[in-house]
Formats: sequence, C-alpha cells, structure tokens
Amino acid sequence: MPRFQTKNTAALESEVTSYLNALPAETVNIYQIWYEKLGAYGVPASADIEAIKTVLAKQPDWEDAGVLPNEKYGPLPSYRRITGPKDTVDEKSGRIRVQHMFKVGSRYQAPDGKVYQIALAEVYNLRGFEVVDGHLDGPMIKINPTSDLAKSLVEIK
Amino acid sequence: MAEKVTHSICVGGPIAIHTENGTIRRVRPIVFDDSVAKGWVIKARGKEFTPDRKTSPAFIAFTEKNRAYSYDRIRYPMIREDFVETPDGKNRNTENRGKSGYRRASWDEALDLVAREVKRLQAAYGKETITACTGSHHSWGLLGYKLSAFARFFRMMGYTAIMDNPDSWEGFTWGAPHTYGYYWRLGGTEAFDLLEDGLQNVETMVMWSHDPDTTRGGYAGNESCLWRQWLDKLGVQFIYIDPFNNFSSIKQADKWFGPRPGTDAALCEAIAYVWITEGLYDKDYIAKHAHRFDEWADYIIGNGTDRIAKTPKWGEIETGIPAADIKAFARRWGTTKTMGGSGLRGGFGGVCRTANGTEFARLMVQLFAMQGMGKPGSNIWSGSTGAPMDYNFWFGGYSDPLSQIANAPIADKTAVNPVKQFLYRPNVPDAILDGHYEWYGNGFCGGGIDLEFVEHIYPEVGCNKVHMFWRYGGTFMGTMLDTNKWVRMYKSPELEFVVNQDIHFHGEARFADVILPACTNLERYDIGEYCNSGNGGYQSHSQTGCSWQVVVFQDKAIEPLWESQSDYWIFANVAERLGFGAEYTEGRTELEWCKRFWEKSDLRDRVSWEDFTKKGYYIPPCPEDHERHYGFRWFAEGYPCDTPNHKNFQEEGKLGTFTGKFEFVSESLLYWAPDDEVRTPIATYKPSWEGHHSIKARKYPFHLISPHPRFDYHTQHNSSTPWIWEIPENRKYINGNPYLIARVHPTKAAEKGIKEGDMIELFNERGSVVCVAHITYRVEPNTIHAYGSSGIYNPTIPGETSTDIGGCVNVLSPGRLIGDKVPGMAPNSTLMDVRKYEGELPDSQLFEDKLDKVAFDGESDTASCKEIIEGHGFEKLQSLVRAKYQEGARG
Amino acid sequence: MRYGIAVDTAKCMACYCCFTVCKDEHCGFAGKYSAAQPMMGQFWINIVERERGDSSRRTKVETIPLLCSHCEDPACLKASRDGAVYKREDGIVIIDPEKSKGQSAIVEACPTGAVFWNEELEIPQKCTMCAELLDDPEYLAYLGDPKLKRPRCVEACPNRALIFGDLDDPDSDINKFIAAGKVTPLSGLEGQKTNVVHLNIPTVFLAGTVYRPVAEEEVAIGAKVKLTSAETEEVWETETNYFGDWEVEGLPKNKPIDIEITFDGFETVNLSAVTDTDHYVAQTYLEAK
Repeated sequence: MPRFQTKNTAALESEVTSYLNALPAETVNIYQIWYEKLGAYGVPASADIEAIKTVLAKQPDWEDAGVLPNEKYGPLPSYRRITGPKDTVDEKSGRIRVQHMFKVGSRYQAPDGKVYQIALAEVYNLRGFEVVDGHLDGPMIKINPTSDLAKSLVEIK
Repeated sequence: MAEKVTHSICVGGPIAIHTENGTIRRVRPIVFDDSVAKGWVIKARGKEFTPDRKTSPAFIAFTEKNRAYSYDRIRYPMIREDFVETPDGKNRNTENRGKSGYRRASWDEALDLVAREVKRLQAAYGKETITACTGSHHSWGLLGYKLSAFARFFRMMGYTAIMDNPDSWEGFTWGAPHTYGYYWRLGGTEAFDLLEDGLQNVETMVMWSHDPDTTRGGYAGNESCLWRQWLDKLGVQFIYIDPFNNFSSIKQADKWFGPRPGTDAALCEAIAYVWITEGLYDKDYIAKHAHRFDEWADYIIGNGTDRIAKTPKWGEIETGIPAADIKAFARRWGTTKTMGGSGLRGGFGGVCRTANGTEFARLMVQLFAMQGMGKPGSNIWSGSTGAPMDYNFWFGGYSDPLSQIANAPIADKTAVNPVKQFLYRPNVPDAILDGHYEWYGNGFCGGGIDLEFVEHIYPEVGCNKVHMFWRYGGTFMGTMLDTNKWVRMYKSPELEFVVNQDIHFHGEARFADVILPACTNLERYDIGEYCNSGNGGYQSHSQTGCSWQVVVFQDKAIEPLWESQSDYWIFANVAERLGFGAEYTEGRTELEWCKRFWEKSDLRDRVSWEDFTKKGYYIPPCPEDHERHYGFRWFAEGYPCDTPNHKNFQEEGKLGTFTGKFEFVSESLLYWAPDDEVRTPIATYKPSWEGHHSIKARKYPFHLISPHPRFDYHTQHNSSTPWIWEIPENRKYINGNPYLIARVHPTKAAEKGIKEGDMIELFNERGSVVCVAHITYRVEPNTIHAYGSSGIYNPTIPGETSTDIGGCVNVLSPGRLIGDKVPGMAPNSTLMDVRKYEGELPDSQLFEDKLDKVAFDGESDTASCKEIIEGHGFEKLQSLVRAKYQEGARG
Repeated sequence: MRYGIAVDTAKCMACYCCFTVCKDEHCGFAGKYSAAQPMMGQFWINIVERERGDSSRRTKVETIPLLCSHCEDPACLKASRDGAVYKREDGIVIIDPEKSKGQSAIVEACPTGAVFWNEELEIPQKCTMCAELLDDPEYLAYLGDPKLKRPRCVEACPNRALIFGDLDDPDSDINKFIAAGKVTPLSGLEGQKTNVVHLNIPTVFLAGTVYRPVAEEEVAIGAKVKLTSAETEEVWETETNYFGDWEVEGLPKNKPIDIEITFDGFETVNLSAVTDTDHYVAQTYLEAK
C-alpha cells in the first residue's frame, strides 16, 4: 500500500473528519491520526505534520490542548474535543468504555459537593477516594459506572 | 504446651505457622475449613474441574521455620573489624571488604554511625551521594515490600535511586510492545479467564522456554500443577522448547525440542515459512489486524534484502532441530487450537534474556497473531495463570502505588525523592568504578513506550558522584551480570561507606562496613495477598496464577530473634536520628499501618479488622456466575476491551502500538530507533553477539544457560536450608560446602573425560565456578545448564575475584546489555568452557568463622554454624530460644 | 482400620513439598515415636528421580516418592530384638527410639532402603507416618474436621499424587485412587502386602521416529509399528503420530523385542532391541518400494 499523500487536501480532510467522528476519546494528536488512520508507512514528514495540523485547526468542535503527555509518542501538541468524550458506550456490543468516562488520577465532583479522585477504572469496577482538604481520606469507594452517582459526576479540570 | 496458629505469605506462597512455647514448631499449607466458600468449578469437555481446598505453596515456603533459625542468620549488628571512621572518608581499608571479619556492635552504636555518615556525606556532596537498592522480593507483605517501607525512607531522605532492569522480562519489555503494545504489562499479554478457555478448547500447548513446575507462576506456588494435570488427562499435546529438557517437560512433554541457545528466533522464522508457503494461518485475521504483514512475509520467503529463504532446512542449520521435525511442528500448530507462550504468564522465559531476546519475543507474538490470537483456544497462555477470580474484589498488590506506605492514601503524605540522579542496576559497578555511565530507558518502563528512550547520564548534570551504598536483602552475585565486578566495586575507595541490611549473611553482606540484622516476616506484622503483583507496571492480576484469592494477616509468630528488628523499625530509627522520624512513621505502629491496607480496600467491606486478624486470612468467594473477561477476546471479536488493567485506546479496539494493530514492521521502532541494529523495525533472527557464530566461540565453545532456579528463589532459600543440599538435582554437599549441579551432555562429557559426580570448573575470561557434573541427555549438546540465582557465594579467596565454589554462575555472564538502546541483560548469551576440577577443596563455606565469632560474642553457649548444619545445633538453638521465652513469660 | 498412603508416581512432579515438610516436622524435633531426624543424611521421604532413555530424542524421568512402606510383614521387625520394632493395629510400623539402640541390622533388613542409621544416637530411624500427629486430638482441631488430619507429606502434595485413608474401608478415597491406577510394588517388595501402595511405576519403553525418504525432509505420519516379544508372545501395535514418533511403555524387562514398521508404498523396516533399559531405538528413514 503506498504512503498517504497529505498534500491531497480533499482526501486528507475526508480521512481526518471521518476519524474524528468515529473517535470516542476526548483528546487527539497529529501522530495518532497519521498512524491509526492514514496507513502509517514510516515516520510522517514535517510537511505531513503541517498538513494534518492545518486540518485539525479548522475543526469547530476541537480546540488546541497544548502539549500533553503521551505514552506512545512522548509529550506532543494535542487537541481536545470541546464536548468531552463521546460514544462512551459501544453501540454494537453495549459495553462501557469506562476509562473514557473516568480518567485515573482525575478528580470528579458529585452534585452534593463531594470530590472524588479516581484510583481505578477497569471493566465495571470504578474506585475512588474522597478528597478532603487535599487528602485522600477514608475508605476506598466503589462506584458502578452505570449508576446514577457515576452519571452525575463532573470532572474538575 | 501453648500452641498458637498464625499465618503468613512468602514468595513460595501462604502458610500456616504453629508455634509452641515461643518457638515455631511447623509450617504447613493453609488448609481451609468450612467457613471458606466453595471454590470455582470449570465445566469443560463433559467434566467438572475444581481445585483442592487449601493453598499449594512451593516447597521453599516450608523452609520458612528453618530460615528463621538458620545457621546463617545475622543475629547482632556488626561493624567491620578494620573499618575506620575517618573524617574525610578516605583510608578506611576498603580493599579489605569481603575478607575482613566483623565485631558485634549495639544498635545504638551501629545506627549512630550510619546517621553520622549520612550527615557527613550529604554535607560534603549532597543528598545524591547516597544510593541504595534491594533484592527483587526480600520479604512478602505490603508494609515490608521494597516499594513501601524502603521506598518511603529513602525518598524522604533523598538518594540516587537505582532503576531495576526488567530482569525476568527483558526481550518482552524492550521488544514485544513494538509488535503488539502491552508495555504496561512489561510486554506480556493478558491471561484473564484463559484457564477456562484452555480447559474447554485447547488442543496443543507450546511451552517455549517454560518450566511451570519450576517457575511456579512466579509467586503462585504449585497452584497450577493440577491444571496442567487436567489438560494432560484431556489429551492436550504438550510441546516443550528449551535447550534443557526441563522438569515440567521431562514429565509432561509429548515432544521436546532443544534448540541451540540463542537460535529460537530462527525457529520462529522457519515455522512462519511453513505457514506462509502452505497457507496454514488465519488470513482473514491478519488482513484485518496486522500492519505491513506482506513486507515481513517477503523477508521470510526469501524476497527480503538478505535474499535468504527461512526454510526449515535453514532453520535446522541454525537450531540443530531436523527440518522434518520443524515442518511437523509448524503443521501441528497451524492446524490445531494452540495456546502457549514463553515462561510463566507467557512473556517471560530464559529465552528472552539473550542477545536476540527482543527479536524472539516479537516473532513469538507474531506467530500467535498469525493463528488468530484471542479466538477460543488460540492465544498466548502458558498454563500457569488465568484462573477464575472475582475481579470486583479489590485488594492491593505490591506494585500498586495505592498499596504502599510510601504514598497516599495509605500514608497521609506521599514521600517524594528530591534527587534527580539515577543509577541503573545491572551496571552500578561500572558507574561507581568508572565514575561515568550512560544509558537509555527508565528500567521497567510500564508507563509508556516513550520511557524506553529517556536518556540518562551518571553523574547527572549538577550532581555529585555516589559515595555511600546501602544494600538491602538478597545478593546480586548470583543474579546480575559479570558479577565479579561487584567485588571490585565494593573494594573501591569510591564507596566510603557501605551498609548491608539483611536477614541472612548472604554474599554481599560480607562486603559491608556495617551490617544491620533484619528479621523474617514471621517475626513482624504485615498483610498481603497471594501472588498479587498489583497494577503498578508489573503484570497486574498475577493472582490469577492461584486457584484461590487469599488475603493474609501476616501475624507475628514469634518476637524477632536475637537482636534482629523489622526493616521498618530500622528505617524508623535511622529516620529519627536524621530528623524525619515522625514524618516517616506518621505516628503509626507497624500493626496500625497494616490496618490502613484493610481500611483502604474492599477487605473492609467483607470482614471486620477483628475477625480478619483473628482468623488470619480472608478468601473472597468466586461467584458461580462470575463475569468472564477472556484475555484478548475483545480484540479478536472487535468490542471495547473488557479485561481489567487495560488502556483507554483498547476500549476503541486498538492495541498499544502506533497503529493499534499487530505491527510486522514496527512503526514505533521506525519512529524511536530506526538505526537500532539489535532490534530492527522488522524483527529478525540475528546471531548472538556471544554465541556460536562469534569469535569467542573458538576458545569458549559451550553456551551456558542459567535459568530461574528450581531449588531457590531470588537467592534466598538455598543458602539457609541444608535439607535441600542433598537433593541430587540441586546440589552435592562435599567437605562442608554445597556444590551446585551443572548439566553436561554425555558426548561432550566423554570428550572431556568428565564422569557423573565429578567436580568440574565452568570458566571463561570473566571468572570461574566449581560445580558438580550431572551427565544427562536432557541438555542440547553444546549447552551447559546450571541454575542462576545462587544464594550461596563462596569465593575461594574471600574478598577477591577468585573461583567461586558457591555456584554463582552469573560470574561468567556478559556485562554487555542487549543493545545500545536496548538496556536489557542477556545472561543466557554466555560462552564458556568446562574442565574437570582437580584442585583443592576448602572444608567449609569460607565465611562460617566470621558468623561464629559474632554469635559466640552474643551467646557463648550457642551452636556453631557447622553444628547447626550437621549436628544437633538446630535443637540447641531452639532450646535456648524456648528458655528465653519461658523466662520472659514468667516475668 | 488400616492407615495407608497411596503414591501415584505418574502424577508426582518431584516438587519436593513432601520431602520438605517431612524435614520441617522431624528435623530437630524429637517426639513420642522418634528421635529427631538429623538435618542431613536421612530422608524419611525421598524423591528418587531416575532418568530414562539413552538419547536426547526421547528422555523421560521416573519420580518415586520413597518412604517406609509400613509392610504387613516387615523385614525390619523380623531383624529386630527386644520389641524394638512393632506394628500398630492401624498398620503403622514404629521403631522404638530407645529399644532399638545398637540394632543396625534393622537398617540392613529393609529391602527398599527406607531405614537410616543415626551415627550419633546409634539408632535406626524412618518414617512414622506422622503417627504422633494422627494420634493427637488437639492437632488441627481448630479446623473442625478430623478428616483433615493427615501425614504431613500427604497434606503438602499439590498434585493429588499422595492420598491417605483407611485401606479397610471399601468406599474410601484411597481405595478408589488405588483402583484407578496400576499397583506396582517397589523393587524388593514384590508379593508383599504393604500399607503404602505405589502406583504406575513404569517398566521399560522403546521409542523411535519414522521419516519418509531422506530427500523429502518429512516425518511419516500413521506408519504402523508392531512390537513382538517372542519369549512372552506379547504383541503391541501402535502408529506414528503427527511428529512421526512412536513409543510403547510398560514393556516386560530384559526381553528381546522385534520391531516391524510398515507404511503403504514403502519397504518394511525390521529393527530389534532389548528391554534391558529404556531405549530410543532409531530415527528410521523409509525407502520407497
């Protein structure tokens, strides 16, 4: 399969938009688009990076998120979907994308004002500690990701 | 006769301890009473399978009583006889380390000295001048584990941390993520619920560099022994690949292949050749899930840049396995439901600790991918993990940051190390001796592929060199590389002050200036779960290697013997002298810390602290309708990952590679290390840099393989327990010293005039080790097999890099790491030669006199080391302890 | 009620758990029925590992947990004086640690080498089937089930290779276990009735591999292999498997065996071997007719 030609703007825009529409995650970066969507034959050239960056900058529901850490590529410039993660339930199988809904290490606030730091997000098993005066106080709290409590939690950014 | 029963866990598994009159009487497996719920039942092929109602620890667990009272216990704090506390740190007779004797010291004298030296060195050079490291698993329990008590102390004090290399996983950690991700599992895959899958579906098990009845699921004891018996009885075919026809293989293999060490990657390529040319692989799966497969396939069939077809005949020339056999193997694998893998948990194995280790790991994963990995009966699963468990019961494992006293929430305040300088464990001696060292990678790198490529230099910019070494638990003489350099390091005046903290007088203790006696975990409080490794960048959920989830209150069976103390006590008392005692302990006793782990986990919801500590253990039931989350099934069938310990991109159906697919041309390597000669973008077999194609082979024609040991664990058990020195496959006790068994093929033995039971010397340019020969057909002819991890280190000239009679064959291994950008160890790429040993034999273990002297100093009527080993010293010891207990009980 | 232990040598993986817990129980601790087992030199239960085969092509290992067989008619009892050895009603054979002083004949008498001489105390010593523990009502009382009291070795076995129970109870697990296996007495105990019963000890195997003609580089799958012992008139028939391997276990010892390999379209191959010991007979290359 030949290397994707990013100078073909129309094709590039089409690929990038369809990728972003299908993507459940809240953040994205240029490399990930190159590798996961555009066929990825070798490292992207700077012209490829510029071309993808241009397309991303034009997306109305994506904003610049600055440099974010990334486990595969190292820290690099990233973008955030303004409306947060989407499709956190897989249509086909009905399974929850629990790590998309809740990030480990992030803090979430319940309607009653309590703040929880998520310690574990796996399968249907969500755990956290209540944050009191900056301390992780008290016992480990179990939250079912499909529960009302879970649905009412809002991330504190 | 006052008897009590307490419980504990050790690296061999959970045990019940019977104590009478203040002495430990016996150590047994934990046998369950009626209060423990029914175990899981797996229905497969018309039968039902359920485990025995007990824990099945390894035999080493049953030596714990003996280890507590053993002849080589460090009983009192000790100071090197010719150590001088000079004000400038020089002229301290460091060249005598290893040969000097010791004198007894009080705790105050020893700890005051340690504190003074810490203050002096910090003032002179900065906090970074102190470094410290531990053995892999000194003692079980969440409080006492190195990432807990040790880490809290050293991070608070500030020190140059030593990064561990992923010693058991090298080729998988540095290689496999570039093929399929799983860097958060050190390159190993997920085995969730695969025991059930295997029992229901598998037809062929490929046990590649795997000896489950020896490596025992890591810390899972003998739990999976029964599982493999079940598979065997169901008619599953076992194919073992190992230069040594190992202890599982010899009883269970339907076929044993003994490739020449270092050629396993070639065998992978030859198998791929058969599959590609005969169409014996899952083409739909590859079309859907593989990236740039065709370019690799071209390379295999001879259209690559080297124009060499990796035919079975080509494979025969490299590996020594007949071409016809390779074809038959490939066809069996390609036409039956096959599971298997390397080492316990599928991503281990001695084969990955070689010069070509990364390439083998990647190729092995590629082979499983070609057969539709994740479909029923088709997966990487090596038969020692994946039991049903209740994933919704959470209790911390030792690598969980959530379960370490170094961090909140267990502590109120997380300990943070202010020092930004590091060392890298396999080459600490090089750094100290040369005063300079560079390397890539953050050691375990579970946090990301990017961490493999972080650049490090020692000394770090703006930092001073290290001048103090605090060594804790275990001995590297038998586990690290080219280990004579540790001797040279210890003797160097660069190290102005050396502390050793250990339970037994192991190989490195005798190089210390100050020795601090720690106690076993039978003498202190702790809490832990059987084989639970936690989620902190090891391989989570390793407790699926056990038939039961067992959380144990590791109660104190007896008070610390002689003057030993818990590691926590030692750290707390040094911290006190250094001004951060209150910060370190946060005012808690050890028992109170244990309660924190109960409080901050699911244990609190299941059982009260009082009931838990009274009963001594808790076993969460596995519900009959427990949720199944089969490892890798989500990927094969295309739904969001539902197994525990996953990454968010897996919820999008992607693997942890750049493309999210199996990469047969690695994009991550093209990105990060395109010029890496050792780990190339297409994984290929390359002759080992210390193998049969190298120049060195003309002079040193034998491969040495030194796998993870059968009769020991992390160097801690063989040394203390004479009972096992007479096991013929382990050691032979001659003239007061237990000599390690080394295995030689009959043809080569005949050439060298070596007979069964002869003393032989294994040697190369790095050193020599005297062993006892076992002549056997169970080794590939060009291979000498001698287990690594020897806890017994006995150099014939103490303090010098002389011949070792303790069996530390790692003395012969290369210090060279796999590659410039692949900082892994490769001890199984060692070339050496062997000859009959006709020299003199010493009449003891060469250090017993040092221990005897200090023991008699403390208790003149105590037994000598030799008496405890051979005579009635053990009973003498026990009666002295019992008398003291009864005295104490009386008031 | 006769206490017995059944030992399935096929299941034994030589894990040394039984070996170690016996040492844990008896080394350094004297009891009612025995003086302390010395730290080294005695093995009241040992694992005898014997490698079988004369080629790397096929090697196996026989693993026999070896302990006192607690014979019905013990040779050691016959060789003893002054009541130094006695057999309890429940079948356990005990050597009295005091009365047996000086009686090295007790050691010599045992046909399986299960009795050891203690130089220092000048007494013979061996396995007591943990009689003291079995007798003690307090031992493991906290578990609430007397059936959980077993000799230490049996309790520690992870692979169900050792079973303890009442040999006189036809419905007991131990009798079911014995019925499911092949009773194979230890060498020296043929024809003897013992409370410790060994199962599935192998005799001799012959094995080989059949290949198609050399130039083809292929194994021959489904070749028929027929073994005949002219002396005993026994015949064994098997086929080569997907590796071209054939193997016959359980052959009678010290017999000449004729081997005939047939495969359609190829010349018949005749080999011979003797079952003096285990042999990998040959890698056979067929030749076309």
